[in-house]
Amino acid sequence: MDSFDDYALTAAVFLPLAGAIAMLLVPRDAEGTHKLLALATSVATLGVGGYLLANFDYDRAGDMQFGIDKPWIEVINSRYIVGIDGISLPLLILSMAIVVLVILYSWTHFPEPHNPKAFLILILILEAGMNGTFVAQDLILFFVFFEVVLLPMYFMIGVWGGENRQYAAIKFFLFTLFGSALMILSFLALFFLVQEANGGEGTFAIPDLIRLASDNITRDTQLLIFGGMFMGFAIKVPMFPFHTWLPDAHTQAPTQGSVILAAILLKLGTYGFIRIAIPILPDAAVEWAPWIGGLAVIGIIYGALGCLAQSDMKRLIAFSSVAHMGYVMLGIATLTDFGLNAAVFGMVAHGLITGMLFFVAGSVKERFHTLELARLGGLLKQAPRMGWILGFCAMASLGLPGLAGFWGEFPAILAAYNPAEGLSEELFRGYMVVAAIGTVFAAGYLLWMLQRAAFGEPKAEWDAVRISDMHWNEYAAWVPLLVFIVVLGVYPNLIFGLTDDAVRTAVSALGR
Amino acid sequence: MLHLLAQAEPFRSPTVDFHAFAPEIVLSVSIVVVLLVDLVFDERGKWATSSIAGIGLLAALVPVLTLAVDGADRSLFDGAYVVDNFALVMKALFLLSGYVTILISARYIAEGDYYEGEYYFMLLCSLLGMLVMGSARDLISIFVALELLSIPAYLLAGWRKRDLRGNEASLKYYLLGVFAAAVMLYGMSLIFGVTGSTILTEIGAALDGGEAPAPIVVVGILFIVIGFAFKVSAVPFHTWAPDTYEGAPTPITAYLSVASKAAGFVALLQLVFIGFLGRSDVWGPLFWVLAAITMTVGNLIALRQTNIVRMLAYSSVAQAGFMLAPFAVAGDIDVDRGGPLAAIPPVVTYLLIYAAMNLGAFAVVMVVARKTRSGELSSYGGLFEYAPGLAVLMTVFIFALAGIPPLGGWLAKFVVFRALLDAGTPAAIVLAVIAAVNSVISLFYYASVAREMWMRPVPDGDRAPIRIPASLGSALALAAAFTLLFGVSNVATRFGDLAIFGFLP
Amino acid sequence: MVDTIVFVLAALVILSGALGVILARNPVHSALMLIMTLFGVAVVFVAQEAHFLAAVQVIVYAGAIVVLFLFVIMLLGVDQADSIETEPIGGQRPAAGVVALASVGLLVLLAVRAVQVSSGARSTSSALDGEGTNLEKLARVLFTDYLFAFEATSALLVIAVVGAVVLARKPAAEDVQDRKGVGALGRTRSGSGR
Repeated sequence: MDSFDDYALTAAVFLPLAGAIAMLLVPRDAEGTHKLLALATSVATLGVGGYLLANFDYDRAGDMQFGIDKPWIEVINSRYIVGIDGISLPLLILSMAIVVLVILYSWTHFPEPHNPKAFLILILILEAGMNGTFVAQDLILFFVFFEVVLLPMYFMIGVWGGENRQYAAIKFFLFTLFGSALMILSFLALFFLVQEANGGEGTFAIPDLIRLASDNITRDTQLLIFGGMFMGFAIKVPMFPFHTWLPDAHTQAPTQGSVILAAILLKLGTYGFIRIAIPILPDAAVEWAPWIGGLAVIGIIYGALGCLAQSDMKRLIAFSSVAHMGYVMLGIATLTDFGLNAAVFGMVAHGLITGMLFFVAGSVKERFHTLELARLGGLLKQAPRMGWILGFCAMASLGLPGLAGFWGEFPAILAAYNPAEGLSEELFRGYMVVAAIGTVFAAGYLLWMLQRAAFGEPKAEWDAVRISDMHWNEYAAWVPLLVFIVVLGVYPNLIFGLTDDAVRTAVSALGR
Repeated sequence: MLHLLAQAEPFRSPTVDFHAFAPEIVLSVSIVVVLLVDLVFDERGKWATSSIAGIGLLAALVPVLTLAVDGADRSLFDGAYVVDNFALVMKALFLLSGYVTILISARYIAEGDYYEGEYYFMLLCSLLGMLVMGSARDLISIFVALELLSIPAYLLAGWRKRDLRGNEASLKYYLLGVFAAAVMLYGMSLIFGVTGSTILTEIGAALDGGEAPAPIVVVGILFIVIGFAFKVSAVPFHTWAPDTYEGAPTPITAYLSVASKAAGFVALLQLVFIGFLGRSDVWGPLFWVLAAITMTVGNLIALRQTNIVRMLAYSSVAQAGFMLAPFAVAGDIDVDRGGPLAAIPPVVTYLLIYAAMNLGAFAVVMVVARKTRSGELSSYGGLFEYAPGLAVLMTVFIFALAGIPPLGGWLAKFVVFRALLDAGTPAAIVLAVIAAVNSVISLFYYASVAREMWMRPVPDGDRAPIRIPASLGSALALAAAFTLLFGVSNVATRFGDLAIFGFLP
Repeated sequence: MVDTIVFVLAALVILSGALGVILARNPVHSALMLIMTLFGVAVVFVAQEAHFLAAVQVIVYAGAIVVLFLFVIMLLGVDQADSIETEPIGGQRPAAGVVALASVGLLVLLAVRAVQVSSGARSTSSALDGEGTNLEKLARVLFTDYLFAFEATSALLVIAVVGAVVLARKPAAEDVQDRKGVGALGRTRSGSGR
């Protein structure tokens, strides 16, 4: 069925929305129906993902595939352009898969105040926004999807979150919105500045802008526009010093929210750099790269030190996210194909591993009603399987070779040894050294967390409490993630093979 | 006496294109019918007046559609009255928002024991004034239209006449409105004195001078713009708005903040872009200041409100600032990008989208007030728990007003930003930054409504569900459908682009 | 020359009348002074050959409206003198002074610069062109070019009547204050933000 090719991406984006609308019509009391509907929708969406995987032309991974281009908002010449290449595909599949797993996990783990209907509808809307962001090839379309994820996440944190949920939710919202406001101004500036070169009509289409922008905009303006986009994406990543919303959001969000936030939402920012900022304005990217790299390594060290200061497990994992995204940004800042490959891999790996860590943290919290590391301990005795899984994830997260985390971190550090033309080698080698020191810190704080949470004897206060080990749906949600952490660790070419061509296309503009 | 008559030239009545007047005629007929029905029927039959008024509005939409299908621009009375695409788009907006106002009024007026027949009579008369405003292209028609739409509005604002706050609402609105009209009329007389014509196209031709404007022209334009700044509640002429919005019956508040404001903008668009087109050096800076302080002050004060009606009042002040922004930069837009006239579509698009989302928000306020009897923000606590549908709708409207995609409002703000960057002058870019900062500020208070509904406990523990009357329900459905439709499609911008003037100097 | 003399005399009458309106302690005197001002304006109109306008000025303003004022003053009682010493809003008087000065400055500026007006359009400071009396031309314009505005004004009169009835009508039953209605959504006035 060839014709489905044209609609596959549209289906990937709008199936979750259709599911959400169907769920709206079902009364709130029918919880079983809601769970089934949500699961069916997300599985069907993942099915579309499977179709994309099966029909993707891996020899042309650098080109846009499954593309469609339809008029949308004509007066501003914004078009409905979607398509995927080797960079989008793994992230799109990751997003689809994570949603299925999150819904599976939710089966018996609905946070207070319960209400599965609203919770699952929000997850599906989130999925539509995330999938849409990864397939959009028009800046306005991208912007709309980029923003669509805000509201569901706001409510997820604000309604189902912990004690400080309202503060965390509004902080998350305002930080991101502030970045978006500057980002949209940058997009508009691009629109107008290429107007003349594009035959008198502005354009938001990313391929057109890649072709036109760098030659037709003065250098200073390019720098400013890049700055606007930098704010939008860097806040979302989040990079130091815009990261302060992240620990609050993660700590307060319900488990499912944390997982989606860590696994997918943070990637929207880095994806924006790779898909939009760098290809469209390569010259400005070269100017900005040393600063981005600098902030990235500061983020690595700051995140690590932050971790060491935490007494709450979830907050610790959140700070480790800041550090890990630092590696991803360092890879991006090198502006080499090697570095970008590492960055995309790092995004997927971080999605799998940190997602897993948040899952485990959520389950621990559910059993102990606390994540205070000082009160935990001896998880291996109380719930041995979960304890081992926590240990496995910690190992993966600190970048143990053979697991997925390694291939995100190590190549990024390596890429900094030899940054792209026009970047200072000395500076980036300095970054490299700092980043390498960061890996030692990472091992330190993760093992420290593992030691305090899992090893030793259980605290006396839990003697009377029966701590159950894994449930069936925890297995269902976690095993696929664990399998992929191993598979990608052993055979990283699954991702690198996909991304390499696409990344080369992305950085091809740099050498011009 | 007779010989005097014989002396005079025989009187030839002017030819009148009745098709062009059909919407006004249909509406006038329904006004008369409402008045007669009110006279004939006793208390139990008064409800019929609301239905007649609603049907009358929809019926008036039919000739608007036939005129649109016909497509030709019509000019009557030497260009004093024009039916072009702009007029038709605005008339459709007025009629539809009037219809929604009637939908949300029906139960409120019937249950509140207010005069029903007269209420709908006034509402329809005010709408008639708006229809006239859409087409009025000379100073006298604009003035008459303004009075026609304002005087019923003064009365409607005080409809709860046994309530002191209602009286205050009406009196403040009336006094400031009359004062503004006087200022404006003075400006009009100055412009008439200088140009020798009341027809906007002729004024436009006469004022289109290259050299520096005469002071008398400056004062004339200034006074006219200030007069309408009252109408659209731009800072510092906004002081009536919060008190009036709070004291007026809620449906009328919705009506004032949407239709009446839109009518003010329509008049401004016509005056500025036809009459004063060549004098953007006079009104450009004026609108820049108005836009900047309107959005900033409106937002900052809205932050401190704890009453939802007052909050929406200040939010609508701030939104007016966004609508004023394209005026400020119109003179700087390149001719090859459409020139000053390119500033019209953003304003019209904004008006359309704003109408949908703001009417929706007020409809929710009315439904919730039926249960809680309160407009305090805190009374929205836990709404999501006992009325999830309403909470979701309110969330949609509130975040649409905040401009979060994919809900309608983002496109409205987007076209305004686009116009600002299109002009590209430093002043325009500064205004764009001010607007961007303001849209982030506005999120604070919009999100506080959402927080109240979703994350706070029910204040008095009363979780009885809210029953939504059919008329309010359909108003909500209409508003929500349009809010979402405008956000994800090009319908609003398409209409904004359609709304061009047929006759220019 | 004659024009100038007439104008100066009329202006004196207008200004002294206007001052009298403000300065008179007795409201009845104020109203009578207002009539004087309006008469002065009518004279100016006559000097401009705007005979119809002059007649309207006398009949409508001096005749009808001021009489209405007197009616109200008499009904309320002339002896109710308000104290004008107290200042309802602080700083209002200095502010009024500033605004008044600014207005005067603006007027002077206009008067000085007004000679430079060159719009190329015809002047409207004389009587309408063409044959026939003012009245006839006015009537003709009113029922042709401005027919629509004229008709719309008739709707205004109906609104005024209905509005007056609504405002003045006593409710059938007293104390039906918002019996079932939603009532005010406002809060108490204290502490409401501005």
